[in-house]
Amino acid sequence: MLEIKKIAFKRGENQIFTSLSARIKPGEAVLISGSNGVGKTTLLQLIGGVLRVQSGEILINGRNVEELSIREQAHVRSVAPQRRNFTLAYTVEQVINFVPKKLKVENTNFIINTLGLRSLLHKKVTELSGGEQERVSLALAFSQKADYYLLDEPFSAQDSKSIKNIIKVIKSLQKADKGVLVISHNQEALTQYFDREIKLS
Amino acid sequence: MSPKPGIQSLSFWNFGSLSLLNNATVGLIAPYVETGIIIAFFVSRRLDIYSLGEHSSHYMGVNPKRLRLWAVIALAFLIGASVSAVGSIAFLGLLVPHIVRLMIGPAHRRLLSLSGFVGAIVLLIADLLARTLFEPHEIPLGLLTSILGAPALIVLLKLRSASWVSNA
Repeated sequence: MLEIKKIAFKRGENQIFTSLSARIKPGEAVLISGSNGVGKTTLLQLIGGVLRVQSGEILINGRNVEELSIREQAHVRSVAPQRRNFTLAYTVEQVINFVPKKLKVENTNFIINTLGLRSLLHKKVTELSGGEQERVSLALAFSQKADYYLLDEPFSAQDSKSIKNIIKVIKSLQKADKGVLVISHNQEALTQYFDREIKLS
Repeated sequence: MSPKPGIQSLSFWNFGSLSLLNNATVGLIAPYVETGIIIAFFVSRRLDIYSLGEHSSHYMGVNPKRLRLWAVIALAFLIGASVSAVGSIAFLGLLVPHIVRLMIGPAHRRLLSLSGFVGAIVLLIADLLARTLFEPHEIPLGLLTSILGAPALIVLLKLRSASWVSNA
């Protein structure tokens, strides 16, 4: 269970959350929507442990995120941030293999094939299009073995076929009893694929 | 150049030179260099992850602050030990890793070991040239690497947007 309990967070003068609560069960896929600036990415960074709540708490499997070490956090949740620095010319294959062995899922082939990365494996990430880089970033997050997957705008640079393929991976995670939390601002077309929608405002 | 040995060694150390190196010095710095190499080897894979950014690194279980600290410790051992033995040999450490990266890509484990290897070869060639080019006079090694290294660095910087980082 991923539980968000009455969290408050303030950035500068800007009160982003005052008392937000939510819970995501294993096997559930939840869409988080809301317009720009309501704190979708902030929420993900709080769950991901790179930001700290000012009050309230976030529990994953009953344990407070802030009390877990960075390594322990990586075992319970995997995050695909909105942006990664693809500035060095690694191949796609090298990037996917960045995931440390202890953290890696057994079958990365399914992820690579479904996300359409098979033919790109030996290409340099720096030479890929934005949409392709986004899928590499997602593949990296999916290759990390965790209980909860947090994806920040995973569809922003994808065409409808790629969106369906990403959904396919999400469905397979659900079948394996993983919880999935997806942030998106163009949510109308997407709600049908998710169990629930949490609207931030 | 002053005939006094103290002054001479000081100026050589300033420019960098292998001529004052002996087995005793090598033995003295070996433990420090080895420590640096071992640490560098251990952090090398995490440096790959770190290249994706601080948040990415955190999300994948690598503490970016701690990693930076270990990388700096490795650097301190390696640089401190080698400079104490041969002085400051300009441009070598700046150029060789970038050239090696252009050749073999950015994966740090290979990059670090091959940079050491290629760096040693380039250093020995430069030393050979420094000793033999104007025989019987020896030019300080650091002077030679500066003369050759500065233009090479400028060329690399010019290429930078096209291929330095993207290894085209």
